[in-house]
Amino acid sequence: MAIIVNLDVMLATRKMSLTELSERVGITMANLSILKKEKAKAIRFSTLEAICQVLECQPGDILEYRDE
Amino acid sequence: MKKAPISVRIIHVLSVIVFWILVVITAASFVFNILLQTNAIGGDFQLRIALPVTFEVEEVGKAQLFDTINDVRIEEATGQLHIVNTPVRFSKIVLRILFAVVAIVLFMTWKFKMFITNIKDGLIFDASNINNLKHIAYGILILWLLTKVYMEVFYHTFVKFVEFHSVTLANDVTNENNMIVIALLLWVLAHIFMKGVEMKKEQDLTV
Repeated sequence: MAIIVNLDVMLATRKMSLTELSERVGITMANLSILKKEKAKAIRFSTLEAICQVLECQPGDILEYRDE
Repeated sequence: MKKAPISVRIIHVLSVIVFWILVVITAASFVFNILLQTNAIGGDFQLRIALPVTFEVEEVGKAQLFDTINDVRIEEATGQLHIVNTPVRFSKIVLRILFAVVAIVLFMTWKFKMFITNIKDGLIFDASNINNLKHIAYGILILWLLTKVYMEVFYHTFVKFVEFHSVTLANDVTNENNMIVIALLLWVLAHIFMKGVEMKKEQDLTV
């Protein structure tokens, strides 16, 4: 897929686990796993906003476009 | 989980009842066929078969329409053919076809039961529903084809040569094409469901 999700990188730099992010963002672990494993078809602005708020980053830090 | 609407639950109960009645009928038909094909029974059959053609009759009568009495006339009718003391060989062929029809109807009822059970359980846009609808459509098409072939063969090999004193049989076999329309509608519905499944998948993978 051309859109790469760098959630695991951001979690590692913030030394935060997926479970903690799930609790703080209010999104289920199942949904965060879908996002992390790049299985997601779409991401809501509200989800992106919540993740960015907790991780103190920009959407571009989480999502990246790579030409295949 | 939200309870299914009452209409769906009623249809579900009815489909289960009809399915089990058909299971019994198919099993009985199977046993009856085996007994007949092996000559364990037979010899006194009185088959009544639907005529594949309409017939012309000259019958006049009176009918009240609002406050006037009108003359009415039967011009075309459908009916059954009673083959008095049906030969066993003929009965064997007819019952084989009948068994095939019952088996196909049972298959369609089974698929419908599965479909309506899924709907009742909230699995509406599920991949299995697409297959269920497609299988019912195939079943209807096979049934239509079987009926068509049976009626044509029955007419051209037997009914065509039957002579009556007061009625005249039509030359064309009755066309019952409603089944094709139903099959096509189900086919379209299956494709709508296919699109629905795709959309649901996308919805499920939206975080």
